[in-house]
Amino acid sequence: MSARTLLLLGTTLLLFAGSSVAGAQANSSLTVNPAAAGPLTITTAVAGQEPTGVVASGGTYTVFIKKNQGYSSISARLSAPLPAGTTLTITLASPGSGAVSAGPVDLTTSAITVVSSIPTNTTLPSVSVNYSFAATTAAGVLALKTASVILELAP
Amino acid sequence: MNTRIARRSALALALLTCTMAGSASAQTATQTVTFAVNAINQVAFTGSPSLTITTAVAGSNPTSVSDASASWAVTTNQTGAKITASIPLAMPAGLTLSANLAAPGGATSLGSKALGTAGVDLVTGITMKAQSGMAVTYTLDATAAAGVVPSGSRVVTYTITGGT
Repeated sequence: MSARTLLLLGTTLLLFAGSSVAGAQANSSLTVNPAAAGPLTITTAVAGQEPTGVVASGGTYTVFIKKNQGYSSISARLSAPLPAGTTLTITLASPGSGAVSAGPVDLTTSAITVVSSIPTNTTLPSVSVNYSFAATTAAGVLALKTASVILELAP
Repeated sequence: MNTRIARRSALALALLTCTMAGSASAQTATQTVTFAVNAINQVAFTGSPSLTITTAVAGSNPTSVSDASASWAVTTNQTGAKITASIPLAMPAGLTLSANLAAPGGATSLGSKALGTAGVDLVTGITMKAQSGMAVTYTLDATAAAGVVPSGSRVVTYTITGGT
């Protein structure tokens, strides 16, 4: 086999590797839409109980995992801690095809799995992101604040 | 010789390209979530206490009666909230209706206070607290001058005033 033949083979392998995924998607991807959610504003309580938590839609997310990239799940984390006495919970629905939602997950600055067993090379439907926000009386009164929620493909 | 080197280079290139195609940079998506907590001050009372004066010690005014069957609950996420109470109509002459609220942790009960049409403080210093099942004690006092008073009722209005 000549060097020219091997070089051609290398080029062929590159092209093959770049187009082996199903459909038109060439790389793994994770998107969430819209880029902002909320506001989640706690306004009331039942007397004697902690303030009543609130829920809000976070829109939808779409995931595509290319084969052999080492991804099979989505993790979520915060870029910074929440104020004391507050809890932000995220729920990513399962897009089906065997993917498993972890259900409601309390967010911290440490990544935690929210969806697992995501099949590779499979075009999956966009499905819902939901948030709930809770606060104890110890949190006090909080003016509008923001939290950056980072979703990431993970092994 | 040159052919062998070229062959190895080409093979290495092929392997390299396969390896690059098999790896990927981190895939992330970020969403900004906005949240807030408003000032919350809630108070609730349960129970329908009943008070009837029926007797006296000879030589003294009628004997006062008390009812501690009611309870109350509070939630505030502020500092220094207080509870006041009032009744919409004054009590008949010679009768006094008083209320005494047990205080939630860290707050101060001002003890038994006579109720009138003007609000009176009963508990102060309630700070970031959610507590229920606290005692409410009503007391009815009468002087002999009150005479016989037909059955009546008063709606006691409790108000929580938020602190800061």
